[in-house]
Amino acid sequence: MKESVQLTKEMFQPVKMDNMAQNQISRPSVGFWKDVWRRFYRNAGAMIGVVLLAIILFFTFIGPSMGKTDYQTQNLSLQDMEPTIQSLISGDDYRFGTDNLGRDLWTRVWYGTKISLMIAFLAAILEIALGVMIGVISGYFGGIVDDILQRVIEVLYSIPNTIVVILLLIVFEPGILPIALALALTNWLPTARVVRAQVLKLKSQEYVLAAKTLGASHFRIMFKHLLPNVIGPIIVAIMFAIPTAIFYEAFLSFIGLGIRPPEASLGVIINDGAKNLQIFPHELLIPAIVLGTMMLSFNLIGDGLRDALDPRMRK
Amino acid sequence: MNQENKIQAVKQEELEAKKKEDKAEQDIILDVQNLKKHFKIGRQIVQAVDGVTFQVRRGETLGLVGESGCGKSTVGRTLIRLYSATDGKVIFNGEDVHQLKGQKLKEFNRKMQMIFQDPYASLNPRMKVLDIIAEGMDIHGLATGEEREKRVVELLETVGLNKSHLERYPHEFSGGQRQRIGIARALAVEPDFIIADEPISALDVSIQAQVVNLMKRLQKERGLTYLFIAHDLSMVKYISDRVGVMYLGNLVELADSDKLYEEPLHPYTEALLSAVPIPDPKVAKTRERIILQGDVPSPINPPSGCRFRTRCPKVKDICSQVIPEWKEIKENHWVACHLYS
Amino acid sequence: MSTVLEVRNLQVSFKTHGGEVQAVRGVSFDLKEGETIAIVGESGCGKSVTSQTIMRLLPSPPSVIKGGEILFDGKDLTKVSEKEMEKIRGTQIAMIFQDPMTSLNPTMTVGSQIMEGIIKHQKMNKADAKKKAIEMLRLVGIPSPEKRFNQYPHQFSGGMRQRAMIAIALACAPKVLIADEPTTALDVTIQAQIIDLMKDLQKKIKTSIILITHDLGVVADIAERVVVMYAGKVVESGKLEEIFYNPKHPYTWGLLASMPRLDQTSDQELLPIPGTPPDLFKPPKGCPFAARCKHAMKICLEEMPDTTEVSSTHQVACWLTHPMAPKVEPPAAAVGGE
Repeated sequence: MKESVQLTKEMFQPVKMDNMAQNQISRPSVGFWKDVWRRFYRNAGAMIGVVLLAIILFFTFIGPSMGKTDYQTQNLSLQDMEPTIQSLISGDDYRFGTDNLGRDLWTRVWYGTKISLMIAFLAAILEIALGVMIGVISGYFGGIVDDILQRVIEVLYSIPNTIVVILLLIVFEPGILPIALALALTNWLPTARVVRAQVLKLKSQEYVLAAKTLGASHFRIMFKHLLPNVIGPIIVAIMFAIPTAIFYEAFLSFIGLGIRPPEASLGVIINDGAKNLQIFPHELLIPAIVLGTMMLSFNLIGDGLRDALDPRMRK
Repeated sequence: MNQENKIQAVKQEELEAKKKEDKAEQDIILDVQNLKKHFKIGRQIVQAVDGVTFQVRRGETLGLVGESGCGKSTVGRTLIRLYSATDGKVIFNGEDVHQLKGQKLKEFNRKMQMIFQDPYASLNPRMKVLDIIAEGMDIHGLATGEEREKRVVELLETVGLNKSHLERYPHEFSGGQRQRIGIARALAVEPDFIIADEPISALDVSIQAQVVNLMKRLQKERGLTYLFIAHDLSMVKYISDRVGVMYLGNLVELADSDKLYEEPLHPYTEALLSAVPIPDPKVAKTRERIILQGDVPSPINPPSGCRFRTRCPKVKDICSQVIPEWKEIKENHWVACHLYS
Repeated sequence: MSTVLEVRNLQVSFKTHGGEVQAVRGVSFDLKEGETIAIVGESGCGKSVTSQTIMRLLPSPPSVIKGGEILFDGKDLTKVSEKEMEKIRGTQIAMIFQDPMTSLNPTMTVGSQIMEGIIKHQKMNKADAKKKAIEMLRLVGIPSPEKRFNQYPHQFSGGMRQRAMIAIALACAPKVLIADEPTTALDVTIQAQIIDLMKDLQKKIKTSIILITHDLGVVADIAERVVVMYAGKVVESGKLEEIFYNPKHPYTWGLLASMPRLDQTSDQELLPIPGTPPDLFKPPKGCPFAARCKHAMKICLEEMPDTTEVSSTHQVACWLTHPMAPKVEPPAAAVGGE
């Protein structure tokens, strides 16, 4: 027996329990996004990605104004200057050196990064919008609609991307919007498949049935019940679509189908640098490092988000 | 002089009350005629529900029991148009449910509602309780703004929750609480008829009783009619006025719930009742149980004649050749079995 | 009868990001040779955690054995190495689960799954093991076992799969069989078959059984002793008849009274237990059931009651048994046919 406690008659008085109090929830309300953020925040890889990306973004905005000249001013007397540690830190001279037309490489790299990012974001958004729309329609309606859309997707899958992009860019003048559009038109297929699979799984969930029995319209079911529940995979798809688009844009510029000079994107700068690779390697290396870092950070963030949004996917 | 008038009035009232009672006896809210639902899976056809006929009276609870795969949930879902019927008719309030369109369909969506089995899957995880319960009101434009919130709070209180839960998300609630939210969502559109599809199967014993008592109270207060689908015979018997027993897509017996228990006619009902464990050691150790051999056959290729014949302890020759007729053997006691023809 | 397994003051917690969930908070019981005991309680009461801790099946982290011991065969199972535990699992203590489909390997024939354990633990050759496996299939009532031996789990129905699971579990003649909700996923008529089989096996073999379930009907049918758990603690334990006809804990009353019985008329009202079980993330200071208890007293909110003996076989942890407490009668619906 518990000797320490003095038992008294008074302690055996009945107490009235308030049963309503039973329904109080003792744990604090943890919203979905808060929980996602908590998991994301604890992921070291993802946080490294965020920091790297933040640094790159910072320089894309501030960088160009820190250079000696703007991105297209040529100074033919100062061609192919190599950067030095001192000039990089002090900014007295060209921080990243100059290219073979004597343009400030520092300004060009950050300006090019901005253009690349703009194309990538635009492409990713267009691609996701298209993929999600087709995916939801295909999965939700099923039957003949699904059959037709899936066959169309299969046919499109079998056409090499590059050919489609090249054809599109021959018709349209290469620029930010046409390139983004071309990328979106060729890359929406996987998104549509992912979203369709999710919708197929969700549409037989009882809360969707409940909405149907209440007389909810197709539109309402898709936007209120299905889309918010596939938002996780969609966000992850965006995070992986962006680096793919950056890389693809660089590739297009490299084969001469990208942004036209004197405009600069990372791909254009790398292409220029590649010509002098053996003599002035910094002209290729610097933009390549920036490109690689950017790809890495997007992938790290994407992985982190996937784990945070769907903890079951983790090993 | 007033005296006489009063007596007259009272008599009149009594007469009218009696008439009403008689009418209530006859008042059929739902009439299901030879309902069939077949699913096509690949090249095979699953005869999930194959010719089911029954009526539900206004204000009563009709229980539907059977083992998994017997088609009881399919019946429920076909009644409320989640599935289209392969054949047969569903007459609700005098109208053929599967022919409804436009305004009539909207009306139907309000008048018939459903409560689901899985309290974890039946609430949208991304919606707040307020929006979940108000969904019906939003769809039918019943209330907006403050009025909407006020009504949701009322509903929450009706089902034993309160205002503090409005802004919470489903995952913060226990199974029983979620089931209450599901009930509140159904009540929000003021239905007459509620299909409860295994509403308590996923809940703990002590919570089951809470939900069943809540459903009983709501029925009394709001004059609801229930179709209560479950596999737990003791709970179905407890809550239902009448019980229908299904086996492999067919109704095999339908009777008042006490009658069904006292005097089961169909051999399947008999076996089912004897298989239910009774939480009383003395009864459990002494009673004779009918243990059915084997498993339920596949609904893709069901046995000919009576579908229960492969497991029936009282099988006769005729059972494999002729499908037994669904008929009223005694008053209010329907059965489909060759033993009674 | 000698004691086969003894659990003493077992405490198991789960570490989560927000803190510690105390799933099992001091559980004690013992299991005698050839005996069947039932651990009953609702989901989250810790009954499955207890059984999985005996088998050492819980991954750590997040689970942590905070204290107590599990004495089996002269060893404390909370302390033995994983290697030793591997030997005990399957040969000495076996387990069957609620869902037979997920606990059978879909890519192996049922026969080879039974043989696997026999060959590994009993050092039999293949031909003998096969003979033994077929014998086991016959023992658990699977018709034409020679044919069934070569089939895969998906060719078995739910009831047959559970029979096959039982055959695998019993193949090495374990001393203890833990059955975790073995009938919950099955239909009533199939459930009756399995209960019948288990009763039959009880007579034929001497294995002690720990039955984990929430279904008091199943308990009444096959258990000899009952342990009632609530919020990670044992609130009452005793012989089957003592629990059903002379329950002392208000929670046991609640469990018995909240279930309708087939042989009772429907005008009797069900007496549900109000509220929900406590969050074991923050377990209450006193008796965990106090908040839902009709007879709660001031002391209940302050102190956890000690276990008191009603008889030599019947223990209860409730302040109502204290001499100073008011006399309380259990509800009529809780004491069954008495």
